[in-house]
Amino acid sequence: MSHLHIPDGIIPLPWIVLGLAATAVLVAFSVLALRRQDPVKVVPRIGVLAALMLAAMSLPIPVLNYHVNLTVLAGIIAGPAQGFIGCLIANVILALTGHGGITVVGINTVVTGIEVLVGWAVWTGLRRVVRRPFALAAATTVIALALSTTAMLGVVAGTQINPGLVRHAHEKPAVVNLEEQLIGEHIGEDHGPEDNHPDDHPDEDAHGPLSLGTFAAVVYSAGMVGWAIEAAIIGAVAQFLARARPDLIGAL
Amino acid sequence: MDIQILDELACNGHTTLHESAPAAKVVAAGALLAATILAGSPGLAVAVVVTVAVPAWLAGQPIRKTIPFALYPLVFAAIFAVSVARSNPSLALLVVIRAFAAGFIMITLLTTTSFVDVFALLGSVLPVVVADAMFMAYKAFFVLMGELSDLLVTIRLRGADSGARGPRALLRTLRNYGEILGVLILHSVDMTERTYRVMQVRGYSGRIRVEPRDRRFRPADLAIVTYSLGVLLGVLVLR
Repeated sequence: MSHLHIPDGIIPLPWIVLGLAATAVLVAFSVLALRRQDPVKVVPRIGVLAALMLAAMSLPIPVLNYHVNLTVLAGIIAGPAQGFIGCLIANVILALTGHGGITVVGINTVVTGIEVLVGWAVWTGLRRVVRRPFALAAATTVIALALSTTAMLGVVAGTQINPGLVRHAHEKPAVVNLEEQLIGEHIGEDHGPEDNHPDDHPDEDAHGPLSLGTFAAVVYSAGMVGWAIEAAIIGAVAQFLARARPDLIGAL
Repeated sequence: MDIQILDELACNGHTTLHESAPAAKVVAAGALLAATILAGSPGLAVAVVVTVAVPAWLAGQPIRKTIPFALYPLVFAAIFAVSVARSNPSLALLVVIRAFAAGFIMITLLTTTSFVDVFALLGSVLPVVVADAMFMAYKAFFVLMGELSDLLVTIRLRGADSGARGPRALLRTLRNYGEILGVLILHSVDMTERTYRVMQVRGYSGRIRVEPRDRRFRPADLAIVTYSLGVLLGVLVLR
C-alpha cells in the first residue's frame, strides 16, 4: 500500500514538478553519498536490488491482489542511498509498464523513499537492542509503511484529488479544486468554485463523494492488511538472512 | 510481471513503428501524453486515443495484445472517478479515458521500442550511477524471475502449497515466500559479485555505453514526431 497507483492526468502539474524536484534532490544526495564507494561494486548492487523489488512483485499473494514492495528490506540491506536509487529505478520501470503514471514517478519515489529511509533508520537504531530479527523487521516494516501511507494521504489531501475536501470546506479553499486542476473549467456544471458550498450538495455526505476522513479510513483499513502481509514476509526474510548470511543485514 | 511480455513484443515485433528511431517514438509519446493530460473533455480524450490507436493498428501493432495492458491503470482511475461520478459524471469519464489513453500510449511505446533503447535515452539525462544501474536491473530482472519461478515450482512440488485456505495457511504461505525471497537475495548477492568481477575484467570505466540501434532520423520518424505534435496542437486549440 505504499506507492501511489495514480494514473497520468490526475495529479496537478505543480505537484508533479514538486515530486520530480524532490526526487532529483534526493538522488543528488544519494549519488554524492555513493561517490566514495567503488562504482564497480555499487552499480551492480543497486541494479540487482531494483530487479529484486520488481521480481518480488510477481509473488502471487492471495489477499487483496497485494504485491510486496521490498522497499523496507532495501533500506535494511543496502542503506538509504542505494535503496533510494533502487526505488527510483523500480518506479521508472513500473511506470513504463503502466503501473502508475509516468508523471507520478517523482511522487512515487519520494513516498517509497520514505520506506527505505525509515526501514534503514529503525533497523539500524534498534538492531542491537531487539535481537529477534523477525519481530524487529516486522515492526520496522509496519512503522515504515504506516508513515509512507500517511505521506500518500498527505499528497491526496494536498493535491485536492478528493473533491469531497472542497465540498466540505466552508470557505474557498486555498488550492483550486480537482475539476479546475484537471481541465481549467467545470465540466457539466455552470458555477465556479466560489459556489462550492456544502448546502449545494445536501445529500452528498450520505451518498456522494468521499470525504478525506472516509478515504483515509478506507486506505488505512486496507493498508493494515497490506502492512501485515509485508511485515510477515520481510520478517521471514530477515530471520532467514540472520541464519544464513547475518553480515547482509548487520549482525544482530 | 508484464515486463517479459512487453520485452518480447518490443524485440520480436516487425511493424513500421519498430523500425522507427527510438528518440522519435519517445518524443511522440511525450507529446501524445501531454495531449492526453490537456484534453479537457471526454470527447477530446477519446479523440486522442483514436489518434494513437488507428495509426498503431495500421502500422501492424497487435492492438488486441496491447489493450489489456492499458486497462490496468483503469482500476486505480476508477477510485478517483467514483468519487466524482455523482456530482460530475463527465469528469469521472474524463479521468477514466485519460488513464486508459496514457496507459495505451506508454504501452505502445514499450511494445515497439526495447527497454534498452528507452534506457539509453533516459541515461543521457540521468546520473551515471542511476543509468548504469538501470541496465543492470533490467538484465538481472530476467535472471531473478527465472529463479523465482523455479523456486515457486520447487516449493509446490515439496507440498508447501497444499491448497488449504484460511489465516494459518496464509501465514505459512507468507513465511514460505519470505524464505524464497531470502534464497533469492543470496543468489542476488552471488550475481552481484559475479557481475562485479566481470565488470572489472572488461575494464568498466564508470559508464556503460549503449548506442540505440539506429539514431538516424528518417522521413518516417519526422512524420511520427510531426503527427504527434500536430495532435498536441489540435488538443490545445480545441480545449
